[in-house]
Amino acid sequence: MSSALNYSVSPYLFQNNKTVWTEFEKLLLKKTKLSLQFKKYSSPSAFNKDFSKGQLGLIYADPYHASLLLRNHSYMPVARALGQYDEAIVAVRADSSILDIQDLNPQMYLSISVEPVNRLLGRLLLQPADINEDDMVCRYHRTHKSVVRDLLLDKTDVGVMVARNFDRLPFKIKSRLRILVRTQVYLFSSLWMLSPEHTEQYPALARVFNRMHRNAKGSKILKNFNTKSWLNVEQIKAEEMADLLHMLK
Amino acid sequence: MQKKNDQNFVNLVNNAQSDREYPFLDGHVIVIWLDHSGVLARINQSLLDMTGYQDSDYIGKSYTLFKHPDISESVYDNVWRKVGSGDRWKGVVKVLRKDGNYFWGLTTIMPIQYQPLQTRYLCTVRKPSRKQIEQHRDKYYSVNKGD
Repeated sequence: MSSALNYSVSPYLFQNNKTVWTEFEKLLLKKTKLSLQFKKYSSPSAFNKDFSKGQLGLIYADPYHASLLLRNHSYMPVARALGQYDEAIVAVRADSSILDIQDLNPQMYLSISVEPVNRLLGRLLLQPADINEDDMVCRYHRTHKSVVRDLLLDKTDVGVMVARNFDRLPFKIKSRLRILVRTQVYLFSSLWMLSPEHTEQYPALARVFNRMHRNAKGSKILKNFNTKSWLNVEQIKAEEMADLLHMLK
Repeated sequence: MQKKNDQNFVNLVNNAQSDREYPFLDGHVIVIWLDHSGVLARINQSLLDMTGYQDSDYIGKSYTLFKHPDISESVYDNVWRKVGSGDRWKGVVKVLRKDGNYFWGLTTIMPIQYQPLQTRYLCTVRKPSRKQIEQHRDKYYSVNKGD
């Protein structure tokens, strides 16, 4: 007998490509007989509303939301993408006179993308200059693209964004920017999290994620998530990440 | 004879280099999970990168492995009293490297909610600002002079 499971992704991980989700749903239905219903949200606030009510069965959550799901809603970690960690970078224009993080000062303009982990890691990166984002003239953006635009149009002195978003920029854009510093924590990952109401689905889901890279269709899906495979995540690793986020925030 | 001379030269260089300040590597955050008695249970790569230890060096060892002689016992007593009562402790600490050199780290220790493998405390060490280092350098200097 099949059962329906509504699922979604953190707004910061959303891909506006319907095929990605259709193929993902087809594969899970075939392998687990689990019918998935993708819930698309028009805004982060709409997502947060359902999220806080624990109304989603399966969520691909950024580290911050994954920690909240774990601690406040007893969700279980299922999998994470191989080799993908959430790190942040601080960048300036390539021709900027700022050469070191300690050259920053509170009179400068800062553009930052609003992913919670990016803001947290950004604060850590600015700390050696004895400043934080509240000290600077800050421009907050939904996406890294706006941060990049600010830098290129000289609307800001310094930008903070998720490192993998910077890495995926076209070379032409990247070459006009310069990284001042990049975090190297390697402990924060986005996680697939399963609702406590669906724990009976855990073994089947964990197996599908674990084996997704073994066939062509699965590999194609993984490519959309910019990874080669999913790794199952132990509860302890998710708990450690939640503790660390709690400590650093 | 040549080998002995080479070794003497290496020792001379090592001795000459000991107790020098080592810069905190940009972007790194050292993360350490400690058990109830301060023994290192789990660490991240940044600790190895910053201290020069190997993965196998720290297993079963106490946090005192990184305790610099300039930091008095009373500082550590104060830290453990605070975290033992459930609070978090934060301060700038001089951390001893394997080669005898040191670095300054903005250190936070707190009891953790989830206690896997009997770990009780989470410790992070981050790059402090130059101002924070100068303030603490003066503070420890005063303590050691008995001021």
